[in-house]
Amino acid sequence: MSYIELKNVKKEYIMGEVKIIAAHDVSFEIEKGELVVILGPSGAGKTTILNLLGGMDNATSGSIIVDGEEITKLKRKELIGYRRNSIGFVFQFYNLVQNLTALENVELAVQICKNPLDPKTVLEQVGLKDRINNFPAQLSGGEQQRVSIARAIAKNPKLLLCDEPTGALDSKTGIKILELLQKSCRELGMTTIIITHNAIISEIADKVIRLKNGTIEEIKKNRKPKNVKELDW
Amino acid sequence: MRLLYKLSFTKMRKNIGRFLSVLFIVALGVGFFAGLRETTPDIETTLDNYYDEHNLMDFKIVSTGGLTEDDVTSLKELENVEKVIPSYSVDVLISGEEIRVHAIEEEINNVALKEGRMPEKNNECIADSTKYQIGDTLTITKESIEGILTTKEYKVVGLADSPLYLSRQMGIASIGTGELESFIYVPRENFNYEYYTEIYLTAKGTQGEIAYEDSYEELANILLAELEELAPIRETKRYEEILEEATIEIRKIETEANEEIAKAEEELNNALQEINNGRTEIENAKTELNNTENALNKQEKNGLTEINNARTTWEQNYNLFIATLNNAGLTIDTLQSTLDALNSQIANIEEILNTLPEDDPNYATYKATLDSLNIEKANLETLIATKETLESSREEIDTNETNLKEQIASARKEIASARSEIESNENELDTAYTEYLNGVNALNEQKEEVEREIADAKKALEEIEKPQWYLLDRTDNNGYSSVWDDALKVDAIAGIFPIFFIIVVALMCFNTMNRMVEEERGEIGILTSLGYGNFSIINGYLFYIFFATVIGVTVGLLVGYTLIPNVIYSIYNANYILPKLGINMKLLPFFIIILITLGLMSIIAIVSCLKELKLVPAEILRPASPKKGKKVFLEHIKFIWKRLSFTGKVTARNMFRYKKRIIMTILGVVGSTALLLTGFGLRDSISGLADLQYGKINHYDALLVLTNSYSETNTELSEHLASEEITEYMPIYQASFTFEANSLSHDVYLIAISSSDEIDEFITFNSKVNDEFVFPEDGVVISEKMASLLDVEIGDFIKLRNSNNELVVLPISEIVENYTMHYVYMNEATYEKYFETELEYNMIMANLSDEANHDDLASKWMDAGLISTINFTEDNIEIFDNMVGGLNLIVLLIISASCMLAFIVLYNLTTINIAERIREISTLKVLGFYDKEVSSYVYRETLFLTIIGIILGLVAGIFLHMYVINVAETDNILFLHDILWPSYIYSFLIIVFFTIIVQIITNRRLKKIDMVESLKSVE
Repeated sequence: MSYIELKNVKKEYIMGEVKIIAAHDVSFEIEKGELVVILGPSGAGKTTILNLLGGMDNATSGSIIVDGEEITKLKRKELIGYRRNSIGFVFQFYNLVQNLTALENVELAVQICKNPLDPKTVLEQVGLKDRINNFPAQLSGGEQQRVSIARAIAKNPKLLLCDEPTGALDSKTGIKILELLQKSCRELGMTTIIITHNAIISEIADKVIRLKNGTIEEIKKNRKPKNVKELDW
Repeated sequence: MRLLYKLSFTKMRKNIGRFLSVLFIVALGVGFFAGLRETTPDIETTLDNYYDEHNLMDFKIVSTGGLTEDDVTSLKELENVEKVIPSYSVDVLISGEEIRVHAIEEEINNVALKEGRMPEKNNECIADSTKYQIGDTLTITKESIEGILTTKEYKVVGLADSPLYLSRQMGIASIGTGELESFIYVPRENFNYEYYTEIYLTAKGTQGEIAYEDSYEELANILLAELEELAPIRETKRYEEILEEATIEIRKIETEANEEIAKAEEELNNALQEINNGRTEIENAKTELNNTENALNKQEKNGLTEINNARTTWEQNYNLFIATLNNAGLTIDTLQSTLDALNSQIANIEEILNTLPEDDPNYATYKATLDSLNIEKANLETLIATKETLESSREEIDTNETNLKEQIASARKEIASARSEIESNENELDTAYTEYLNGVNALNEQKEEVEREIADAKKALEEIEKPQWYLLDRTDNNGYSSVWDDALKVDAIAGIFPIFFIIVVALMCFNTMNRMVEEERGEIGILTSLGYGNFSIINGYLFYIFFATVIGVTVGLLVGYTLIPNVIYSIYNANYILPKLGINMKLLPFFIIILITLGLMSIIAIVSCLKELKLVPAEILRPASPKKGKKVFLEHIKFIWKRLSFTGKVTARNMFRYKKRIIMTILGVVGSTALLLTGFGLRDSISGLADLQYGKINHYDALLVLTNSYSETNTELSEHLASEEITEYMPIYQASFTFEANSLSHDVYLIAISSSDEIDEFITFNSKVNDEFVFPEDGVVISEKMASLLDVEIGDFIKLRNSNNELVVLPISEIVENYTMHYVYMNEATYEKYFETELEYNMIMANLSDEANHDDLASKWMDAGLISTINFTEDNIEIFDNMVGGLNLIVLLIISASCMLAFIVLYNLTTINIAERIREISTLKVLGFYDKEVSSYVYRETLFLTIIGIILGLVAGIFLHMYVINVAETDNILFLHDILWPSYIYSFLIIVFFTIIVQIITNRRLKKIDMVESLKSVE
C-alpha cells in the first residue's frame, strides 16, 4: 500500500441549482518521500484535489488514505487534527500573519503540533537566519514564501502541500523557492506535493499528475527528475 | 444608476446584520439625543399650558396693613395690568393639620378639578386631591385670623390640583407648627373680613408667552416696575388711613372714657351728699332721743318723789291711826274681831232687849249699854273704814309706783332701740362713706388708667409701622421655580449623554462604512474601471446609508420622544403635583434631526468611499496591502515581553495593530461601563438615603405633635408618657421657617431641644467640620446641604423667616451630616436668646418599645386629645422611598441604554474585526487550529480590550456619577456620593456578559469561515 492513496474520489459543489463536478473519479498513489507535481490549467480541479488532500474539504465520494488513515472518513474535529499534525501548507500568497515576525509566524504553527522542529533551525535552513525577527512587510516576496515554507516544514508534517508556491514570484525567486522545496524533500524525506499550472516545474518532480476538467489525464513518473537549476525558464 | 440602487438593496439583504447594526446605532443615538433634548421643552410646554389653562397669576400682593377697595382701584389703573382680582386666604387648623383656605375665584388660579364638582353651597369646598376624599367633612378648629370665616365646617364635593401648589412640600403656614400640609378652596362668600388678604394680578400679554422664557419675564417685569412704583404710594395712603382710623378711635375712646368718669364722679358726689344728710338726721334723732330720755328721767324722778310723798303722808296717817288704835287698845288685827265681838254683844243685847220689855230695869241699862255699844260700834266702824281707806291708798300708791316704773322702763326700751337704730344707721353711713372713698380712689385710678391708655394709644399711633406691600411673583408658589430648576437639570444631563452617544454612533457608523467600502474594494474597482463616476459609486453607498438613517432616525425619534420624556417626568411626580405630560412631536426638529443625521452619515459614507476612490482603478482592483506589523512598545519592556506567552504576544501585537478599532472598542466599553456604573451608582446614592436619614440620623421612632404646649404638670400627659410603649422621650419645639439661597426660597425645620445630653437617644449628630460633635451651648446646628446652599461655615450667620416674613438671624456653631430636608437645631437658651420669647415645647420625640403597636398608640393619644398628629419615622422611610422611587426608572433607562450601547458597539466591532481578518483566520484554520483556538486567538484581544475598557470605564463612571449627582441633586436632598462595591461588580459583569454574548453570536460566523478563503488572493 502506498503512502498516499486516492481512490475514485469525486467532488461535487452545489451552487444554487447548478451542480458542478470539480473532481471526478480521481485515483492515484504517492509514495513516501516523493516530490509530486499536480499539473493542470485553471479549473482543472487542482485546488479541489489539494483541498481534499489537505483536509480542508470533504470528498463527495471515494476515499483518500494518508499513511494508513482514511481521511475521507474523519469528522470535522479529527480533520482539524489531521491538518494540525499531518499537513504543512504553502500558499500562493504566503498567508503570513502580518503582525508576527518571521520567527513568530513559524512558532504560530509549531506551538500547536505534536512533534515540531525547532523554528529557528528551520528558518536557518531556509536561509532566513538574519531575518527571523523581521515582519512580513519587511521581507521580499521570496523571503515571505520561505517563511511560509519554514512554517510548513517546521510542523514536521507527513505531507507538504504547496499551492502555486511560485505563482506570485518572479522567476528568479521562484527558482530559489523550488530549490528549497526540492532540497527539503530530498534532505528531510518529506512527501511534497506542488500544485501548479506551470509545466516546466513538473520536470523536477518524481511523479507528475496531469489534470484536466476534473479528471486525471495522465500520471507520469520521471525516471530522472531534473534539478531546479537545470530548468529552463 | 438604478442597478447601483438595486445593488445597495442586495447588500442590505445579504448582510442584514450590518444594515441593522447601522440602523440601530442611529436609532439609539438619535432616540437618546432627541428624547433627552425634548424632555425639557415638553415639560415647559406642559407647565405653560397648565398655567394658562388655570389662569395662574403673575403677581400676588399681600400687605401687612391689609388691602382695600382703593388699592384694587388704583391697581386697575396701571397701564400693563390685565386682571386685578382681590381675594382672601387664611391658614387654619383642620384635625390639627395646617391647611390654607382659599376663596374660589372665577378668573384666577383656577383649580384643576380631578373629581366631583365645584361647590354650590357655602358649606361645600374643593380639596387637595392628594389628601382628601369626596364626602369628607372638614372642621376648622382655629384660624390664623380669628373669625375671618363665617362657616367652619365644609363638605368636600370636589377634588382638585391647584397651579398654586406644584410642590408636594406646600410651604409655610402662619398657624400650628408652621408647615403647610394642604389646601382647600371654599366659596368666597364665606370670608367675612374688612380687608382683602391678597390681590392677584396678571400682566398684559403674559398669557401668550411661555412661562420661564425671557419674554415672559420681560413682560412680567414691566408690570413689576409699575407695581414697585405704586407700592410706596399705596403704602403711604394706607398708612394715613390707618393713622386716621386710629386717631378717630383714640378720640372716641377718650370721649367715652371722660363721659364715663364724669358720670362716675356725679354718682360719687350724690352718694356723699346722701351720706351727709344721713349724718344730720342721725344727729337730730340723737338729740331728740336724749331730750326724751331727759324728760323721762325727770318724769321718773317726779313720779317717784310724788309717790314717796304720798307714802310719807300715808305713813303719817297710818301711824296716827295706829296710835289712835293703840289709844283705844286696839290693833289693826283686832279691829275686826273686836267689831265682830261688839256686833255679837250688840246682837245679844238687842235680843235681850227684844225680850225685855222696854220697862224692864235692865232694859234701860241694857238700852244704855246698847247705846254705848252702838256708839262704840260706830267708832269701831269708822276705824275700820279708816283702816280700809288707808289700805286702799297704800295700794294706790303701790300701783302708781309700779305703773310709773313700767312706763319708764318701756320708754327706756324704746330709747335703747332708737339708739341702736341710730347706731346701725351710723354704721351704714360709715360703710357708705368707705365705699365712697373707694369709689373716689377707683375713679382716680380709672382716670389715670384712661390717661395712660390714651397716652399709650397715642404712642402706639406714633409707632404704627407703615404697611408694607409684598409683591410676590409666581416663584412664591412652592415648586414653580424648583420644578423648572429640575427640568433644567435634566437638560444639563441631557447635554452630556447625547454628545457621548453621538460620538459613539458617528464612530461606529464610520467604522462600519469604512469596512464595507474596504470589503467591496474589488467591486468599486470594477465599477470604476467600467467607467462609473465617483459620484455614482458614492451615490450607491449614500443610498444604503440613507435608508438605514431614515428608518433608524424615525424609529429612534418615535421611541425617544415618547419614552424618555415620560420616564423623566414620572420622576417629577415624586416631588410635584403636575398635569399629564404633553408630548410634542414637532415636525421641524424631527426633520432637522433627520437632515443632520443624514448629513453626518453622508459625510461618513463619502469620506469612506473617497479613501478608496482617490486611487486609480487599477490600484483599486489590486488587493489592498495588508496592514503592516511592527514592534510594539511593549517589546521594549523586555521583562514583561519575555514573560508573555506566545499568544499573549500575538494579542499584544494585534491590539496595537488595529489602533482605530482598539480605540473604538475601549471608548465604547468605557462609555457603556461608565454609564452603567452611573446608573447603579445613582441607585446607591438614592436607595441608601432613607435608611441613613431615618435609621442613623433621625432615629427616634415617633414625633408627637401636642395639642397644647408641653407641661410637666399635665398629669394626663405624664401618665401617657409613662406608659410602657414609650421607652424614652424628649419634648422639643419644632417650627417651619424659610431661608433664601440662590434666589430660591427653601423650607427649613427649626428644632429647639430640651436636653443636649439625651439628644443622642433620638438624633445622632455627626459633625461635618469637627472630629467630634458637641451640642453647642450658644448658636445653632445646621444641616450640611443648607450650609452648602448658603455657602456658609461655622461662625457665619443664617437668616430665617417665618410665615409673617419676620426675620431672625442666628449664628452657626455646627454643621452636621443630613440627607433630606434642612434642619436648624438649638438648645432652649439659644432659642430664648435670639427669639426673645419663652420657649414652649410643642412636640415630643419618642422612642417606642418593640411591642408598641403604632395604630393603637396613635389612637390612644389622639382619643385623649393630647396630640393632633403623630409621625412615625418608619412611615417616613416608606414615604421617602416612594418619593425617590421614580428615580429608579431613570436608573433603569440609563442601564438599558448602556447595555444596548455595549451590545451594539461590541457586536459591530467584533464583526468588523472578524471581517478584517478573515484571511488570517482561515490560514489559522488551515494550519490546524481548533475552533476554540481560533476563537480565543480572535477574541482574546477583544476580551482584553473590554477589560481595559471596563476598568477605565469604572474610573470614568465615578466621575460621571459625581457629575450627574451634582446636577440631579434637588435642593432639599443630599445624595450619597459613594458608589457601593456591588455596583462596580454588576457593571463589570454586565459588560463581560455582553462581550461573551456577542462572542457567542459572532462565533457562529467564525466557524463558518471557509478555509478556501486562504487560497484566494487578497480582495
